[in-house]
Amino acid sequence: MRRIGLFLFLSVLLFSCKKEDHTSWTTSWAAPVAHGRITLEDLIPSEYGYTDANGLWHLRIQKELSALGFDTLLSLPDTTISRKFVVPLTGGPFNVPPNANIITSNEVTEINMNGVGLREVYLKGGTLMYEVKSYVGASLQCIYTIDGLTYNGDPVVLNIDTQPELAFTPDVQTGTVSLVGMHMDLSGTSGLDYNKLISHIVVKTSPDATGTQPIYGQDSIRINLSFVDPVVDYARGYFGNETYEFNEQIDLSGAAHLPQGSLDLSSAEFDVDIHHTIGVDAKMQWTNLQASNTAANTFVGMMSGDLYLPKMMTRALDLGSGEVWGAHYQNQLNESNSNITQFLGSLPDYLVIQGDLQINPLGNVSDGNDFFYGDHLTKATVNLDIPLRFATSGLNFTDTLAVSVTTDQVQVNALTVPITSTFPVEMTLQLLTEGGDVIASNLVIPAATVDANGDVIQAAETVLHLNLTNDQWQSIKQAHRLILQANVLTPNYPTPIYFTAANYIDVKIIVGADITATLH
Amino acid sequence: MKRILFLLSFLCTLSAAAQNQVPVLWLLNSDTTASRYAGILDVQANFNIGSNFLDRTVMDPMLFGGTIERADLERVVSKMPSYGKGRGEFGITANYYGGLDSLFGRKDWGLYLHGEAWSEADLGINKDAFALASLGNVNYVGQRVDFSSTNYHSQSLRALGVGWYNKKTYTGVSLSMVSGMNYREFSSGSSSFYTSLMADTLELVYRGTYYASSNKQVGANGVGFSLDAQYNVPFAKDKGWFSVNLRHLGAVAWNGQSTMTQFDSTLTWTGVNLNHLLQTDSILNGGSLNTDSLSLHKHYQSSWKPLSPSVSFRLFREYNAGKSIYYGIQYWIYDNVIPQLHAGAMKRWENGWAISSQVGYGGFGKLKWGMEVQYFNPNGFYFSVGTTQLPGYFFTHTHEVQGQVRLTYLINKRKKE
Repeated sequence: MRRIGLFLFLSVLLFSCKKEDHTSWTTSWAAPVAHGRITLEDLIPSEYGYTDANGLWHLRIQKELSALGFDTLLSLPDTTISRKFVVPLTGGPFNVPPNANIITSNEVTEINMNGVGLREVYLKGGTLMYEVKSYVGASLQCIYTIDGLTYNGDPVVLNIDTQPELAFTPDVQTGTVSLVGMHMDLSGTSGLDYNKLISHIVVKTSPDATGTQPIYGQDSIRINLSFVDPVVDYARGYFGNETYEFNEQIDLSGAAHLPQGSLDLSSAEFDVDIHHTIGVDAKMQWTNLQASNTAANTFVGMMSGDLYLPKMMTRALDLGSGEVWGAHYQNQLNESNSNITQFLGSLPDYLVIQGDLQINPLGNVSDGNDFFYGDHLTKATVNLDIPLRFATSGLNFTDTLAVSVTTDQVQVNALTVPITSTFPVEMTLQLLTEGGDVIASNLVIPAATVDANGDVIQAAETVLHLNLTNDQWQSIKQAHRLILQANVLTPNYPTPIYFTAANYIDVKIIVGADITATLH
Repeated sequence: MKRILFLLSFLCTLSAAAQNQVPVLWLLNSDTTASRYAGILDVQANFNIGSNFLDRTVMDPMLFGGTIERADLERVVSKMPSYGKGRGEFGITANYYGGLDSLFGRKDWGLYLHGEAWSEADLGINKDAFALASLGNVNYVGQRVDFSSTNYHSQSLRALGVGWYNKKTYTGVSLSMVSGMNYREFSSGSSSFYTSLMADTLELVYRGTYYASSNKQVGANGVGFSLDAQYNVPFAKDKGWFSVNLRHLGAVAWNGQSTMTQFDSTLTWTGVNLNHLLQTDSILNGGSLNTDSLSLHKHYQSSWKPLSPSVSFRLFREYNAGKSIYYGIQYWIYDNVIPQLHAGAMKRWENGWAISSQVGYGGFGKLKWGMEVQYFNPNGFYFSVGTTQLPGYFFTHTHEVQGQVRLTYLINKRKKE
């Protein structure tokens, strides 16, 4: 037996084997990672550029100012109306048969509308929440009709059955009604008031009650109505003579890619267009149009004749069916009527636009007939247009390239970039890490050959080679981004050249990389 | 003269032991009465990893984990023949030879039970394809690397069977039911990888099949059979033996949960589109593959797959004073594998110990030299440990590592009073 045990022990001992770890080795690859034809439309998003009828490429920045503060008109304040209705008797109990009226009342309720006097409102959002508390010791039917709140001409009727109170604890019934599509008549009983909502109530013993119901004098019903998040689709009334201030900043340093250097801005234009579509008279005044260059710490204000003088804007006309005629008010600023060359020549990274707008500066001249539609609020749009015709001996562009590499299994050690360019400029590239370490410099892309008219007659071809050290690669990986700086020289400076939609750069990016293969 | 012949055999002949053969010491101690043992419990284990191009600097990390140094891969590639082969096998076998007094009225016949578990894998790949996979494409810029003849096959199996054997010669045959645990088979058709001159275009032409058993199912994924046989013929008054050993002749039907994938695709990679990159993406964070043609059919398929059979022949002759030589041939029935020749010499002593040395060539490896130590006690047990490639344990530049160990418990019959 001992010999068998020894035999089995040795068998297990000798035949055991286990693999502990994965296998890895390093391979060296040359592979393309990117290719493409880059045009100005690729470099600059379409919202920031276009080609004109002559093929000349324009840098365009268009920014809509955010509703000039009128959007505050769109939402009415949340409002709660609480009304108590008392049985007009004394003493009791009175045995009242089923379906007998015990309370009737007509109501006119004033609603707070943010200081604005409204006569009618169409709503496109919000909820009416109601709560009925009955302190009556009988089953009741409460019919609460809000005459001033209608849907397709029919008033909102809250028909609520309540149960008898129990040991002085009222019966409570709740519910909600959507306000979408509702019309609020706030002109009161005279039709000339503001913010007055008409309603009436009938409370009677329940038609379904069995036998007489015990009613005491001074028993009461309380109704709470809450308008929650009401959104205005159309409003008419007197909007007061508030002054709205606006203060906008337009970022030019990000997606707009406004170049750093010097541009020929003789044909640049800066327009401010206001489309006034609210039924109120208004007084508009720019208080500040400023170009700010953060890096250079320079601030240049736009100067132009009557730019900063107040402008009266006539109220819009309601054409019915939701259609509105509104007047346009435009300031077109160019080299002939402003200091736009100096303004844009400062190469701002953002623009500051400030002003204020007063409505009804002459008071309630419309006799309560100011109006607005929620989707037709007065808007102001800023347009900046720069034709890309320029001459430069050293214009700098800067862009940031994202390099998201999360694996340690790839070690890029070389880049080869064949380039074919039809841009009539010579570009000298420099690649830096975000920390400022220079990856490569003095990478020259020659200019395409142009004829006397500036038209390209032969593309330029070159191949850029970059070798990356391990430290440089690690630096790129940690920063997750590369900074590309391009210094642009135009041939025959100061003869201006121009860019067209036909200009392109064909690029291939080929990497040499060590890749660690792993076998599990 | 006999001594000279013995030394020549020792130095010049080629050797490698075939697994699961009956040990020579058993045959030399053949029980002519066929009645000595009430039973024999025999357990053996063996492993063999060999290749005609990989050496241990590459094989060891692949087997046990770790990093393969690039310099080793470059050296292996530089010395690699045009077509590389490799095979690995690990197995445990247990046989119980019963001690029935007679079978069908024959006292020299008996039954034996056969149990076995083994895993095996083999690979065939041409030189350029291996260089591409192990070193990358930097040396193949402007070239098309063909890997049409790449194939890989692996399987894990268990077997349980019963057989008949001759108690005097151990000639026998067994039929086993095989339980298939795992199966993988990849075979490439006309396939290649192209790198353009500027490395701005990579093209993969990929045709082939991949068959794999289910990896979800617990337990067996296939059922089959295996026929194993050995034929031992004595001569020279039992001092010489001629042996034929047939192993793993059979097949397994892998079940319907197995998947057959057929590839017929051409993929071209030129990098991500810079226009997309400038809008949304980063250079190394995504991309798109231009699929010139993509055909991939995957379906469940039950299929019969053969085992990896081998056949070996051995001639053994003992001369005086316990000195002997043996030689033979073992052949794996595969494509592209040459038969493995083996030969050796053995010295045994009266006290039961024996030591042998052998050389061999062929099969999945190259030239090999092995040794084996055995001990046979007719009244107790048998033990052997050996290798067909002893340098494989000491030198990392060798192409094969093999080992085997065997323990046998001999149950003697009680003598009748």
